[in-house]
Amino acid sequence: MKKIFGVTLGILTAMGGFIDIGDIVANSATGARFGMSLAWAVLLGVVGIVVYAEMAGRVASVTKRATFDLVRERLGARTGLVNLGASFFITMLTLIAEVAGVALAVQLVVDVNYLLWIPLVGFAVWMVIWRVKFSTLETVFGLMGLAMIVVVVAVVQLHPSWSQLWHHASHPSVPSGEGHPTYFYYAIALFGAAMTPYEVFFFSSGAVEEKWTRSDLMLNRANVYLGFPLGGFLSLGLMAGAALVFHPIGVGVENLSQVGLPTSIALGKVGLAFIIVGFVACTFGAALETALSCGYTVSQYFGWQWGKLVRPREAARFHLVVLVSLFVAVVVGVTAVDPIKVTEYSIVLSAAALPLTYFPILVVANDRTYMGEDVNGPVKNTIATFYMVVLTIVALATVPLMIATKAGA
Amino acid sequence: MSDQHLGAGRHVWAVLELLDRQLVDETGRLVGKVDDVEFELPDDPDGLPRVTALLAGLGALANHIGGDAGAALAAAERRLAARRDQHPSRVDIEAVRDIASAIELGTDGLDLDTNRGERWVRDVIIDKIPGARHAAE
Repeated sequence: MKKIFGVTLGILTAMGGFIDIGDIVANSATGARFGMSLAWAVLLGVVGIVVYAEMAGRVASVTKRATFDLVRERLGARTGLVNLGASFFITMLTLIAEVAGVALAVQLVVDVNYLLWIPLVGFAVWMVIWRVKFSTLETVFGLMGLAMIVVVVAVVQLHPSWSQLWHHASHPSVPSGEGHPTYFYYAIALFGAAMTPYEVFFFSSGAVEEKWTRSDLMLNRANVYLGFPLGGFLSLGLMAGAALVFHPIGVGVENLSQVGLPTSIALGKVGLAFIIVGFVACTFGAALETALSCGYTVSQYFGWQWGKLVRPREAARFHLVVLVSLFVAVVVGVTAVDPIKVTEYSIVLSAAALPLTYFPILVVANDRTYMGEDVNGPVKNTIATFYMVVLTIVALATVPLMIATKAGA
Repeated sequence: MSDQHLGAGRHVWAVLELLDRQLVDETGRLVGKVDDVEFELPDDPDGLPRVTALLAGLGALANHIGGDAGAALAAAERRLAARRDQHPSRVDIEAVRDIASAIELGTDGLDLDTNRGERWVRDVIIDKIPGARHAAE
């Protein structure tokens, strides 16, 4: 019974960690602009994060080493340091976007400018990290995040032509008036939103903290194989809602209230209430995960004690990094930098940086001296190697596409 | 004695098995990374060099990284160091209990000099925040 509860908790965690401000913005914006013609990029991203997180979780369970610990070990101090710089910067950008995202979601309820909410949100995130138990976090934010299912209900209520939606999704083509570079730039944004690196930093560190062992590998698989696809399903729901409501009339999604519009058209105020609860839960959960991930990456590179399960004073430098990161996120957030723009840059750069952390995990997942019989099997290795190629192509294409399309303008 | 520390005569691949690995002390605390390795050259010209100690700390890491980034880290280390002639923390190889996915020490690692920063942050910043000592989960 306890095990079953553990699985459900894990599913909730994985889902809460998957849907964040990046997925909310990217899926709605592409749905409005490209209809369902980029649904394949979400699928590619979901399978990618499943492969990546399963390996990272398995490696963490067997070796007790979280992702950034292994990044340094396998790439060496020098390449590891470059990697730390890139990964920390992107996680920091994501943290800024999530904190602003919570503030924007709160602004939808209380008509007070989101800039005023940012410091309060930052403080609340820090308080939760400082004082609240992991299991409480998982349950509260996981359950609240389930409110996002309303976006799928809304799509059903809009009575779409399913065959047409399916046709658009299964026969992708670049809509007229859009260039190929822009189309692929948004494909990278969706891919990066699904495969944001902090998800894996958090997941693997969580596995170490929860003291997972070989006997928890089933739990690892259940988390990954159920949680992330559920998140992907909700992402497609957001995309379909925007594709049905905004795409036909040629309106772009530029703010969070528009993201909620398909749901409120279909389900009225009740639907809107659900989606706002979902927004707050998902972005707050992701703010917690990114803030912790800032601490995880730095601490694991330098070998410092880290973690939420020890007393804060036992992991002093870790908590200092988390505190400073949150402070910086709040300061940058209140400069009125456009949160949606920050989100877009964070997910696109995430996609570009993925090979840096994916490669060492792939290597360790094949290392028999570490993994014993739990190394990658031939099927898993084929898929994982395919993704190494995909990630490399994406990484090489990102910056040229960003320049060519003026960041998707 | 042999189960207290690694027996002499074990061959290790220094870069693969030692460098950049996590150091874990006797209490399970994470106490640093292996930033460099100290060797003693054999008297016998055909003999293998012997690992005498693992080095940990920003100074050792800076040397290991080299270049501008290394120089910047070394400068940071000098600023933070209590004494000018500070050397990196030296973990005698006798203190190593096991080399696995982490390097397990048979000693208390918090006393290592590389954890002076940890102790300082704890005493000066983290302990001042209410709740720093609240029970572990």
